[in-house]
Amino acid sequence: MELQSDFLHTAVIYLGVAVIAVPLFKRLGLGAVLGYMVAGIIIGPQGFDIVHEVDPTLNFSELGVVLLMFLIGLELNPAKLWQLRKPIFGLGTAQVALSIAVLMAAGMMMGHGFAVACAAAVALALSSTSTAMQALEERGLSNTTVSQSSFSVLLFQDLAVIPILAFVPLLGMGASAEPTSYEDVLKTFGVFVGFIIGGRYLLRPVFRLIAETKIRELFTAFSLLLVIGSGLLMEAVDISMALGTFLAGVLLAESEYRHELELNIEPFKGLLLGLFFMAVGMSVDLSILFDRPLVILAIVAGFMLLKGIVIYHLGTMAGLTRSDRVLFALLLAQGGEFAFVVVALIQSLGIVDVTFASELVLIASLSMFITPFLLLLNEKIIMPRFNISTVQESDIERNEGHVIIAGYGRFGQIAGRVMLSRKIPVTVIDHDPNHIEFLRKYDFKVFYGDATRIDLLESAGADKAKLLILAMDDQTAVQETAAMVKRYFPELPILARARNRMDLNRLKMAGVKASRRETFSSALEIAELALVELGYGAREAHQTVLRFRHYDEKNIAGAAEFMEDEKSMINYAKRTRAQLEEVMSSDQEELSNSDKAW
Amino acid sequence: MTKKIALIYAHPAPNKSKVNKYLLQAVQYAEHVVVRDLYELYPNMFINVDAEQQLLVESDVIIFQFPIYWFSSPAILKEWMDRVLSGGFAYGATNQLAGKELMLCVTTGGTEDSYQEGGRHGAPLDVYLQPFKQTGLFCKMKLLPDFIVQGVGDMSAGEVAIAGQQYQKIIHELGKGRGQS
Repeated sequence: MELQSDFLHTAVIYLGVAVIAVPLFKRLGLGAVLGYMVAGIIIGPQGFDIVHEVDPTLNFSELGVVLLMFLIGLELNPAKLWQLRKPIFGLGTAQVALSIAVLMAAGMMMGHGFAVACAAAVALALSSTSTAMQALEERGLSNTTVSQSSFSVLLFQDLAVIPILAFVPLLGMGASAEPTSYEDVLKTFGVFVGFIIGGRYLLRPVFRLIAETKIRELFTAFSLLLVIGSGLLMEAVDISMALGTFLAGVLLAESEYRHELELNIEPFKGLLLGLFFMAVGMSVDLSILFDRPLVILAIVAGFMLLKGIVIYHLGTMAGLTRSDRVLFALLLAQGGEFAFVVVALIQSLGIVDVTFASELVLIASLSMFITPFLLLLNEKIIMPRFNISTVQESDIERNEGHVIIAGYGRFGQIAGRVMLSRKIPVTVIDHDPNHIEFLRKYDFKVFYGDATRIDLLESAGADKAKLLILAMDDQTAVQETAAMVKRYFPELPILARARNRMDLNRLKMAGVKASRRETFSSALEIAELALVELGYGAREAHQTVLRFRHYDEKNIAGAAEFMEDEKSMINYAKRTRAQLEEVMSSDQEELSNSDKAW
Repeated sequence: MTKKIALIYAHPAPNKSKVNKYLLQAVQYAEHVVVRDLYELYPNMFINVDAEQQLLVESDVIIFQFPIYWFSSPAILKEWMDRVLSGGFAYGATNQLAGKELMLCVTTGGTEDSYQEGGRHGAPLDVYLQPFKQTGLFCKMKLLPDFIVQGVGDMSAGEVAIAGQQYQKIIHELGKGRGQS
C-alpha cells in the first residue's frame, strides 16, 4: 500500500507542476517544451528536490520518444515523402552533415577527442521540432517557404535519428562489434517481411473487428499494443525500438484508421514526452551554469552562431529571401529534444562522462530556451529593416482547400459524389466500420472516427478546409458539432443536414450557413410528380412546388421566435398554413392572368 | 423522300392557350413531325442538349412555335437556343444545320393593327421576329415564310379551326418537300 501511495504521490507532483507550468509558458509564448523542462527543474534535485530519483522516470518516459517516432511514421505516407524528397534529402542531409562537421571541428579545437567531439556534434546538430514548428504555427507562417524548408529539415532530422541511434554506439565500441551471423540476418529479414505482410493484410480486419465492438478504449488499447509490440519485436532482432515503431507508423500511414490511431496515441505521446522533458529538466545541472556562467553562455552563443550560419547559407540553396534566411536560421539553430536522447545514449555507453553530458544537456536546453526570445527579437528589430511583415502570403502552393464531409451515409454520399465529379478534394469522416470497408473498395478517402471530436476534425484539416458538410444521421451530433466547430474554427463555413423544421432554426442559431431537411427535397419531387399525374402541366407542377418551398422556408424562419413556446408555436403553424393556402391560390390566379390567351 | 420536321414548341401555359394548343393538335400526329414541348419536357429549364441536337441533325425542317410574350418568345425557347445552338454544332467550321429550313409559327394576343408604327405594340411583328430569323441565317439555314396568327383574343372557334387547317396543310406540303415558297 505504501508503494502505491508513493506512486500516486509522485504522479500528483508531476501532473500538478505540469498543469501549472505548461499553460504559463504557453501564455508567455515560450512553448510547452520549456514549460515541462522548467517544471522538471523546479521539482528536481536542483530545485526543491521533491523528486530525487531521476533515472527511472527518464527510462520510462523514453517511451514517449518511441511513440513520437510512430506518429512521425504515420505522417509519412509515400506520396507526401515523394513530394518533399528534394528539400528533405537535399536540405536535410546538407544541414545534418555540415552542422556535424562544423560543430565537430569546433569541439576538437576546444581540445576534445574525436569520439567525444563527434558524439557531441551529432547531439547538437539536430534541432527542436517542437520549438520550431510551434513557433511557425503561432506566427501563422505554416504555409510559407520558410515553413516548408524548416519542416523538410526537421523531417530529415527525425529520420536521421534512427541511423544515429543505431550508429552512435559504434563510436564507443570501436572494433568490439560482434560479427553478425547469417542466422541473425535471416531472422531480421524474416521479422521485416512478417511485419509488412501483417501490416498489409492482418491489421485492417483486426482494426475493423475492434471498431465494430464500439468500445473506444479497446481501440486505444490495441493502438498501444501495436506500437509497443512492434517496438519490442524489433528490439528482439537488435533493431532499435524507435525504428521499429517508426516502421509500424509508415505501414499504417495509408490506412483509413490513421487519424483515429493518431488521436489515440497522441495524448500518450504528449504526456510521456512531457514527462521526458521534465526528467530532462530534473537532470539539468544548473550548478554548472552558476559555476561558470560566462563560459557556458559563450559556448551556447558560439554553438548557435555556427549552426545558424550553416543553416543561413543552406537557405540560399533553398531559394529563400534574405529575411527568410534569417528566420530559417533562427528557427533551427537550437539543439533539440533528440539531443537529450542522444546524450543519454552516449553517456550510458561511456563515450562521455557525466559532467560533459550534463553540459551538453544544459547547452541544448539553454539554446531551446533562447530561441523564442531570438524570434521575438527578429520580429521586432531585424524584420522591420527588411521592410517585410512576418505574416506574408507565400508563392508556394497552399494546401488545397478541401471539403470535409462528416457522415458518409446515404445523405453525405450524394453531396460527396457531386464534389468528386468536379474534382473537388473531399475528406470523409465516418464512424461506421462497415461503411468504411465498403467505400474503401471504391477508392474513396474515408477516415474512421467520431466527427463530434474536435481533434479529429482538426486532423482532418478543418483549419485549412474550404467547407464542412455535417451529414450525420444523428441530429443532436450535427447540432453539437456545428456549435463546437463555430467556436474553434469560426472561419469555416458549415452546411448541415437537418431532420425537421425546428432543426433548421436551431442550426441557424448554431452558426450553420445553410441547412436542408434530409427528406424535404425528395418529398417535394414526389409531390411534383403527383401533380403531373393529376393532370397539371409539368411546368405548373414544378412552379407550384418551387413556390411551396419558398413560402415554407419563409414560415420556418418566422417561427424562430416561438421556438421555446409550444402553444404559440402551434398557433403560428395553424396561421401560416391558412396563409400558405391563400398565398398559393392567389399566386395561381396571378399566373393564370398572365398566361391568359394565345 | 419525306422531309422530317422538328417542331420546337414553347408555351408556358398550354392548358390555357386559345390558339396554339389547337395549332399543335392539328399537326402533332403527322408521321413526319416530332414535337418538342419544351415546358413539358424541361419544367426546371434544364435542357437535354444532346437529345435536342440529335433531333435537329435528323430533321430537315425546324419550326419554332410560340406565343409572343413581351415582344419575344417565352423564356425557355431562348434558353433552348442558348444551349442547343452551340458553336461547332450550329455555326462555325462544323455547322450541322447548314441548308436546313427554319420556319416561325407565332401567335399574338394583339391584332395586326396594333403591331404597327405608332400602334399599341409599336412596330410590325416582323421587327420582333428578327432575332429568330437572324439566328437561322447565322446558322446558314434557309428561312421559310412565317405562319402568323394575330388578334387571338377576338377569334371565334370557327376562325381558330380554320387557322388549324391552314397550318396542317402547310406542314403536310412541307413534308412532301414542296413547301409553298
